[in-house]
Amino acid sequence: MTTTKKLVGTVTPQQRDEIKTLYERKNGLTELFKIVDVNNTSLYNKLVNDMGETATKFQKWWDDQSKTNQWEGKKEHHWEINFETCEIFLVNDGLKK
Amino acid sequence: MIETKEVIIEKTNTWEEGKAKNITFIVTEDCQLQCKYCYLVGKNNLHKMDFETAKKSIDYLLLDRNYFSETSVILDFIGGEPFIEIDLIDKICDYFKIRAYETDHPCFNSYRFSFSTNGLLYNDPKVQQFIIKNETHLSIQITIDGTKEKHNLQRVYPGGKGSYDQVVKNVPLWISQFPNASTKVTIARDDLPFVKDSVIHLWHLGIKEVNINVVFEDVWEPGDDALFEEQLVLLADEIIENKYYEDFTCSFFSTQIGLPYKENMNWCGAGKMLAIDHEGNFFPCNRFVNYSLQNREQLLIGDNQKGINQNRLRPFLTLDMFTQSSPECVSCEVATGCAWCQGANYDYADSSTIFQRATYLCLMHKARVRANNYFWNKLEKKLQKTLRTLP
Amino acid sequence: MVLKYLLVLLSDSSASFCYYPSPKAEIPKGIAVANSHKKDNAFHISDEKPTDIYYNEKQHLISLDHLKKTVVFALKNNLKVNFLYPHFLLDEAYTKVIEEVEHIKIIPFDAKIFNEDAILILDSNDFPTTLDLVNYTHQNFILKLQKKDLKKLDTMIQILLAKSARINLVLMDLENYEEKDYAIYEKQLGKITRKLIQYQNQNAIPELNFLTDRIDLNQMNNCQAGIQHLTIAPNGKMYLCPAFYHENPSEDLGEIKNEIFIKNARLLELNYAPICRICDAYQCKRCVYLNKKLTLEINTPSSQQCITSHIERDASRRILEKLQKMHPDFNPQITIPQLNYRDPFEIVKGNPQKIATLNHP
Repeated sequence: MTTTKKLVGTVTPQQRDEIKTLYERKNGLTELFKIVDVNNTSLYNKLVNDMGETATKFQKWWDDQSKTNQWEGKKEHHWEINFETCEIFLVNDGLKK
Repeated sequence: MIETKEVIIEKTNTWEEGKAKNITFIVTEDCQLQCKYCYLVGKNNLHKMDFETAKKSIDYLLLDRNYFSETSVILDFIGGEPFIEIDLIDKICDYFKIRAYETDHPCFNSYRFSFSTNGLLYNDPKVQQFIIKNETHLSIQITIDGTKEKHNLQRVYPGGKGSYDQVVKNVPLWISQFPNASTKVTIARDDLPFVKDSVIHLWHLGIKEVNINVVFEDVWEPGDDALFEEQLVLLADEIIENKYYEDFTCSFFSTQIGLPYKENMNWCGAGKMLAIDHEGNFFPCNRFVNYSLQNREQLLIGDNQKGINQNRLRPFLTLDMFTQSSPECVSCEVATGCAWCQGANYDYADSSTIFQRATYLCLMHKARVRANNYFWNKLEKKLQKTLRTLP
Repeated sequence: MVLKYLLVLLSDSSASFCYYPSPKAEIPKGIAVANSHKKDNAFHISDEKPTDIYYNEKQHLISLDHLKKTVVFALKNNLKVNFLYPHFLLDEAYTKVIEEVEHIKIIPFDAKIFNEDAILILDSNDFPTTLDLVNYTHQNFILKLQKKDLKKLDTMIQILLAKSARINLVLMDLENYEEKDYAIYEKQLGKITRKLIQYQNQNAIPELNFLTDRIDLNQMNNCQAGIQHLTIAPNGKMYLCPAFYHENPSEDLGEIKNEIFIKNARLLELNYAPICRICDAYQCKRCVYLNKKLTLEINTPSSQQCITSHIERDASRRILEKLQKMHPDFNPQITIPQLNYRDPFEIVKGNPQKIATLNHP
């Protein structure tokens, strides 16, 4: 598949920080999930709830921003953000890692 | 990000540069190698951190929000060779993740585990398991010094056998897992004839970013600067001729070096970072630990029981270029990019102070500046573009 | 270095007149006179506690030969000498040599050597009664205030006011000062200020280093050890100050000689002290001994030094305001602006001065 990556918009540094924090938290929770003892019920339950909430907030950010900023979208494509430049790219799923 | 060719790629920023607290765990002072240029003059197999010491240190740091007020953190694991202690490191990282989460510390949303390794254990199953487990939070730098000849001149086992073959076999796996990985090359006196070939060799291995410096120690002799300059000019020619500048970087060449000082900033981050030894003692960086020092006693800034000694941090946090430099250095016309190491300064100073800058690199820096000028002038001419702002 | 005077420790038992503790007469079993250090570091000071200094009774007095050499050196170099006295009277031979040179005697009060030209050292541990002070009217005192006596400072100053031409306060145990101590110190200075203002209506107020020096200063007036003065110890060798001798006698600056070499001497100068060079708490001692002891650098003050000096500076500001209101022509050239910090470290940290504002001397 030919790889394509098209610039479709930018966000403010503040908006970038929001999604960056959510992204990092999502990764942190995922890796924490691998090591938490299921018998530690309070921590385990807190983590499960947190993962759900964080995933929801993460998705909501993309939904809200794409709608507000009218970012171009396509089937079998996804958006990516460059945290350094605040640029949003439309990338075909072949590139998705 | 490269979209078109004839773009000069620049060194990528370090993750959260200037924003993250850097905490170094010296998990062992042992290493499989005895590199000839190594600044760790007191390596040994006695000093190993235990898990309790690491736990206490993490507990203290997560609690002291005055000292650790940053919202990002890099836990740096060094040795000796850190991967010798992979079981311990795995436990430390797990403990950190759990405690950062339990205490709602902001750094849970922004942390990295960072490693500088000799690469010998990179394909070890335990190391690989650790990498998979922490895949989104890792930065791993394998030190490979260049060509086999150059690498084996310095990076040797006890007994003198070179380590190149054992390291280079792990490079493809490393690059596949960390495509933007960089390496750090150190140049000692004997290495000077191999500088150009080594940088290009590393690029050919797939390492796009080569960070390189000459040793800070008092080893340089008359004539070394000329040899160094000659190598850098040859390297510049190769880069320009083969358009390596489109895909690769080498820290020897920068648009920011060789200018008079405009800022009065310290070069080094000692004191802003923290190193922890096997006993839970705190240091401004690992260059202030006994095993790094030849002439002076180690310089502690606290420990995991009593915490940070704020008074001892004050010199580090107020140290500027002017106060530690000679008048010649302050008014030097090609000053920027001239590096120093605070720990080496302390070790070499006439009295016990961090406020005296060692200047052993002066001639080597000036040689680098001349080669750097050659590189940019030639490249600007070729590309018909201004790439630098000269005073 | 522009030497102006020498400090001469006449004996190992000479009372401390500054931040270092006074030597104790006996050597407890198992405690060495000098700290030993792994490596040869200039100005190396241990911060291991306790910091008591012990001296050897048998070898404690400076030799007459060393004393003579010191006096001759002073005479040849236009230097004055401050002699730090022990608790006992000196032989006539010593007195004779001392009297050959322009000097000041610094004598422990409890030595009971009456001399109206001398500076007398008082210790809050053993503060004299009013009766003990009855013969004094215009004396120079050094008051070494132990931290435990901080709350008694105003009472002590009240007693000394009518007896003094000048009082130099030294806050002992400064390294142990915490927030609560700063609050007490601030309150004590407030009380003393009120007394001073009342007192000055009828009397000339004595100089108080911690309150009135700053209202006359428009530049730094620090200790200047290693720049304006050096110390000659009983062993005949030179040191930055008596504290460095007591801490580690093996780290001397050599015999008395014309060419004196101090490693990294520039770090003693204001220009090479990043915190101090932006500061206007001009009355601060900037004690290089305390600096070295607490921050490990002779050019970097501890937070305790900065904060107490700024509490003094602020009290001085209030005094100056009041005096200038009462007497509009009082020191019109001096201003002490109100600050929003009490430790200049907070200003300098991560924000180094611009190169253009700095010059190598």
